[in-house]
Amino acid sequence: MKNTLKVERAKLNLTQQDLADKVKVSRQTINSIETERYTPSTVLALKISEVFKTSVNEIFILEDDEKEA
Amino acid sequence: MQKTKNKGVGFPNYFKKIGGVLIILVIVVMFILKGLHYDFDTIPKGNIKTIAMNLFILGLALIALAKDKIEDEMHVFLKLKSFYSAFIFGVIFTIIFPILDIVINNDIQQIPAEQLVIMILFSQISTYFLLKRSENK
Repeated sequence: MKNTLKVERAKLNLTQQDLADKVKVSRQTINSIETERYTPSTVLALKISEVFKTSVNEIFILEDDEKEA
Repeated sequence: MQKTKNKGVGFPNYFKKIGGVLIILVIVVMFILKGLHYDFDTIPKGNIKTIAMNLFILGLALIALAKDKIEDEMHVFLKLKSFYSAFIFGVIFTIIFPILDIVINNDIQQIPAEQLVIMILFSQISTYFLLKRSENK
């Protein structure tokens, strides 16, 4: 799953630590999500989208092979 | 909507320190007893080796089951992964051990339960440490 977390963070001029504090996770978790090593839970994805005031779908994008039902 | 809370599972973080102290104590006491040429098998109230082994396992279990200072959903996921790989390691070790025994000693022996539990706990702790370190990069 791709994501635009880094771009959204840059728009708001937030560091990884700032975002981590806002959604109450560790900086390592934000880093792992950004580098696509970890896929967040629905709850965390919703919290992140709330910080950026966008929908989850705009931040987290399924890759083609993941779209297959 | 149902309220969701993820606090992680396990003992509080200070149990890691308790586990560490327990392991160090066991090792130190065993070294002292060995230095005093103590006969481990002739203690009146039970076998001191068994007691030490059980305390060692308890120490490892406390470290393995204690939560991190900051534990979020990714850490819970990594812990699950490490327990899974430790279990697989335990199964493979149990299968491989008698084969190695045949090759080396020409004799099949049952793997002691304590040894298996220690191997599994060691494997879990080290895998979790390595996974966490790779995520920090």
